[in-house]
Amino acid sequence: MHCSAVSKLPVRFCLRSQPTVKDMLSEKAMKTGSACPPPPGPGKLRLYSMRFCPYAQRTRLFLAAKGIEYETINIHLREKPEWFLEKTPMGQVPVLEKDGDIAIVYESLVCNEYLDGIYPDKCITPRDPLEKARQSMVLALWGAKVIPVYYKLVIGKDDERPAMARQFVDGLEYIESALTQPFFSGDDVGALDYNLWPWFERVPMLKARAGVQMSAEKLPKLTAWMERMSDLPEVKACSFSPEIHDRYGKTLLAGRSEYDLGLEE
Amino acid sequence: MPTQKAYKTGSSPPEPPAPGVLRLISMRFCPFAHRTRLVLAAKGIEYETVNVCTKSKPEWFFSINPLAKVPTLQHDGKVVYESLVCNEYLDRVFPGRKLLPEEPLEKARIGMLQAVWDAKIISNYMKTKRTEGEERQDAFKAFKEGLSFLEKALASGGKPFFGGDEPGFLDYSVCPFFERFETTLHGDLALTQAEFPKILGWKAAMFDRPEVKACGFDTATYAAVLANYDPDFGLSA
Repeated sequence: MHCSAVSKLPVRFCLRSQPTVKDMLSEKAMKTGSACPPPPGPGKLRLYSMRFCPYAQRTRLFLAAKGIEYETINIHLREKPEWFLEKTPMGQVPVLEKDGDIAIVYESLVCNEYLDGIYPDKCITPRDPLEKARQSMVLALWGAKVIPVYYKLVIGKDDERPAMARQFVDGLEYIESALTQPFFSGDDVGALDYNLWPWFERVPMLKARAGVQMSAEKLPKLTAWMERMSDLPEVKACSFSPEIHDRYGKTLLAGRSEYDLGLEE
Repeated sequence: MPTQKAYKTGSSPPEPPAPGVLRLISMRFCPFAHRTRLVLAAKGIEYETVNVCTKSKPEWFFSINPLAKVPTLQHDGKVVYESLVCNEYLDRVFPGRKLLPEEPLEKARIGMLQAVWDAKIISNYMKTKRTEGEERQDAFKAFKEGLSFLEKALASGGKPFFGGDEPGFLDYSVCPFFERFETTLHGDLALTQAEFPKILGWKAAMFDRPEVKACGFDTATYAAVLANYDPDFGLSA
């Protein structure tokens, strides 16, 4: 399934309008009406992302952990460029593009497994089928019990927040019981840790702005795990400061997320 | 277990499976459990079935799977649930035809098509079932837009199945739903040969496969159970 098989426009259409070098180096989110960037060069890897998207952060964590070089183009998620919707029918980040867009991969967990497939040294995805199944089941629990509540919490109405905040912490209790070792993946950090982490990085913001009450008494293992994860260099490399998360969180909860927050004008 | 009858709320738990025995906790008409039954059949894996009522779930089921959903596999103390997690586990652990490709991009393509299925195809199909008039036509149009990705995948693959010359992971994932689509995709909701030649060809080929026939029911049965939930429909008293 090539990009050209799913796009309505031929791939070559993108090359007609070349952005400037300055545009290419910018982290600013590209919008509707923007020129389609030329494909990444042969052997090069590109990530379409949004700086504050937790799903895209899953893939940024894998890229950092595996020491892979790549370039980033950020996407404005409320005013999506038309050319972006040609690349992925899902219209969401993260998307990986490789080898002049011969390979387009979307869906964060699919991207992450794909990265382990094409860069097999320092493999993060568990090789043992039962362990892989176990990690997938925890992610299924997370996807069913916590992620939908997170979105209702940040996007929902003010008067619904207290109930959602309690439900979010209830969901965390499911995950607390799955944490039987220092990391979700065992003695060392692994795929499940990275795939869960982005929402935990946002917990301080949720505590300050959305009424989430996550205590060390109630969730001791998760609290200790969060500290362990925060110390890892690859996690630090992909993270924002609590101040930036808080400022962004304010815009997110107001329904006007500022994708370029923190970038210089 | 001698009976196929579904265990309900208040039932006593069955004995655990004997050592070495693979057990599938299922419901005869659940399309998700159907995905796993197809993979078990395709790979010729021996197993026993315990059926549960998915509307009045037995309490003992929650201690095996906290989400208490079918399919759930039990094997020498191991528990695996979520249909596609079960299917990948079975494919990797048991011998027989490999249903998942090894090549990373080919494997990723299956994951992406599955995402399109969940987000654009099955969601809009369900919408056609609960809407009328213009809303239904809009949902059907969106359903067909989603299906066009599957059509293009078959066209560029140039083979009868998503898995190639024989059905693979994605074929068995979507087949149970196409079997149930037969109950409503008629008349103004029909998929035409002009629009979906590859999918219609795929459907005919899939429905002709022995493992698909062995695991499925006729359209009238699907329609009856969809109209009136009964996990034991068709079983003698």
